[in-house]
Amino acid sequence: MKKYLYGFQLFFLNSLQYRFNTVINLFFGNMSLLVTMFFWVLIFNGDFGKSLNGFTLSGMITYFVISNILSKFTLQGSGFYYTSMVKNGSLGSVLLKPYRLEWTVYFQQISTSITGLIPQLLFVLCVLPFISGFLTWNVSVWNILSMVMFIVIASITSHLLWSIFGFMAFWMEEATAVMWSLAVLLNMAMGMYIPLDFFPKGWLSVLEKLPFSAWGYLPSKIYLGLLSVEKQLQLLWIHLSWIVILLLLHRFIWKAGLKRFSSVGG
Amino acid sequence: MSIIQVEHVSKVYRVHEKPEGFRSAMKDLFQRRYIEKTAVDELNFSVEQGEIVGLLGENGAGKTTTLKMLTGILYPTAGKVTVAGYCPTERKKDFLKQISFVMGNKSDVNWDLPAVDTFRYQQLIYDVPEVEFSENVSYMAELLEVKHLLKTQLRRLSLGERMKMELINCFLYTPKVVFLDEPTLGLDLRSQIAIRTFLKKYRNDHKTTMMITSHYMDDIEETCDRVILLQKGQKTFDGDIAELKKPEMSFKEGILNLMGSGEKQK
Ligand SMILES: Nc1ncnc2c1ncn2[C@@H]1O[C@H](COP(=O)(O)OP(=O)(O)OP(=O)(O)O)[C@@H](O)[C@H]1O
Ligand SMILES: [Mg+2]
Repeated sequence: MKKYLYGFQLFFLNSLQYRFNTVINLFFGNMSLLVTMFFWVLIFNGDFGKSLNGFTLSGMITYFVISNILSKFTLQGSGFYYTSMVKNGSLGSVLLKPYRLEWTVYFQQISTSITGLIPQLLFVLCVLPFISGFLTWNVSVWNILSMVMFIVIASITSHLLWSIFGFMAFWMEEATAVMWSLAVLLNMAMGMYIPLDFFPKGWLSVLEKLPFSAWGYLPSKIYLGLLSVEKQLQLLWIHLSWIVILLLLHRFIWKAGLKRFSSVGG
Repeated sequence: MSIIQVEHVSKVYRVHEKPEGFRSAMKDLFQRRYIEKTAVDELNFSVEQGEIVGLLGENGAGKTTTLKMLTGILYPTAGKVTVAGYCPTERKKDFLKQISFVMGNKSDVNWDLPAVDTFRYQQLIYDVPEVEFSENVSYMAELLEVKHLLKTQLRRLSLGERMKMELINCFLYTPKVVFLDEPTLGLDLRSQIAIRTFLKKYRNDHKTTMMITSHYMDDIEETCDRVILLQKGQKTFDGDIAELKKPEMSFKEGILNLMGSGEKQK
C-alpha cells in the first residue's frame, strides 16, 4: 500500500506546482459554469417558486455547482495515460515494475483530480457570496455518506472504463480522437449538460443504472435530497456490480492488448 | 539449468504500411495493408549465472527486440523464453523483482524529481530494506562519482549523469539478471570507462548475470565474457571473447570479419 501512497504523494506535489503556475485556469476553466447558471436563471425566468422536472431554480443551480465539482473524480486521465504510453512505447518500462499498474495509475489520477479540485473549490468560494442565495444547503448526514460512497464508486468505475478506452491504442493509432468524442457522449450520460430527468420518459430508468450516472448525476441528486433512501440502496448495488463487471472486462482486454503491444522505440 | 534460455524464438512485427498519395490513402482507409517484418528469426542460446554476454549486431539487427522479449515487454511470435525459471511475459512479481532493464533515457521517470526521490520510490516498489538501500546507493554513487548530484532535479542533469542515475536506479534492488541496451550511448570517454568499471565490479561483487548491447566495441571487449552476433535477426556467431582476441587481429577487426563472413554465408 505504501508504494501507491508514495506515488500518489509524488504526483500530487508535482501537479500542484503546475496548477499554481496557471492560476488563470481558475477563472477561465470555470466560465462555463457561470454561463450555465445564467442560462438556468433565464429558463426559470428568475422564478424561485417554479419547478421543472422536480428541480427548483436554486436546486438546479446547486445541481450544476455540485456535479461540476464531483465530475473531477471522473478519471478520464487514466485513458489518456494508456494511449500516450502505448503510442510512445514507454509502457514497456512500467510493465517491468513489480506493482499493479492499474492501482498505480488510479492513485496517480486521483491525485491529479484532487489538485484539479483545489482551483475549482477556490472558485466556488470566490463566487459564493454572490450565489449562496441560489444554493440549497440542507443535507442529511446519511445523504453525505451516501454521496461519498457513490463518488468512490464513480472514481473506480470511471478509472476502469476509461482505461479500457485507453487500451484501444493497442489496436489503433488514433484512439485519442475516438476518446474525445466518447467524452462528450459520456458527459451527457452522466448529466453534466442537463439532469437526466429531462430526457424522454424511460431513458432515466436506463441511464441511472449505467455506470456514468454515478459520475455526476446521482451524487448531486442525493445532495439535493431528491433521491429516496430506498432508491439509493437499490442503485448502490447496481453500481457496485458494475465495478465487478468492469474489472473483468479490464483484465480481459488488457491481456489481449498486451499481446499486440509492439513497444516502439529503442 | 541456465539462467537464460532462448529456444527457437522469433518475433514478427506487423506494420501498417502507410501509402503515398491521396488516392491510395483513401483506399487504405477501407483496406489496410500490412507488411510483416521478421525482427528476430529462430534464435537459440543460453546464458549461465554470472556471465556477461554482449549482444552485437548492426542497426536493426534485432538486439533491442531480443531484450524486450527476454524481459517480457514483448510476446515472442514463436518459441520459448525462460529467464530465472520464469516465463517473462507472465510478469510474475517474483520474476520482475529479479530482473532489470537499463533502457537509457527511454525509461519512465519523473524528470522534475531529484534522483534521491526516484530511488526512494524504487525502494518502495521493490521492497528494499532501508539498510540495503542506503548501502547500495552510496556504494554505487561513489563508484559512478555522482554523490554530489543526488539532490539535483533529473532534468537538470547532463546525459551522462542521468545515465549513471538510471544505472543506480536499475541496480538498486540487487537484481539477479540485468539487461542493458546501449548503456554508454552518447557518453564521454571518462563516463564510459566509469560505467564499464562499475559493471565489472558489480558482477564480481554480486555474481549478476548481464546481457549488454553496445556499438562501442570497447564496452564489449572489456566487460563481456562472451559475444553473440545477430545479423538480420539470426545468430551468426556465439563464442568466447577469447576466441576473438587474437594476436594478429584487434577485437574490432575480428568482429568486422565475422559480420562480413556472416553476410557471405547467406
Ligand atoms: N515496434 C516496432 N514495430 C515494427 N517494427 C519494429 C519495431 N521495433 C523494431 N522494429 C523493426 O525490427 C527490426 C529490429 O529492430 P531492433 O530495435 O530490435 O534493432 P536493434 O538491433 O536494436 O538496432 P539498433 O542497433 O539500431 O538499436 C528493425 O528492422 C526495426 O525496423
Ligand atoms: Mg536497439
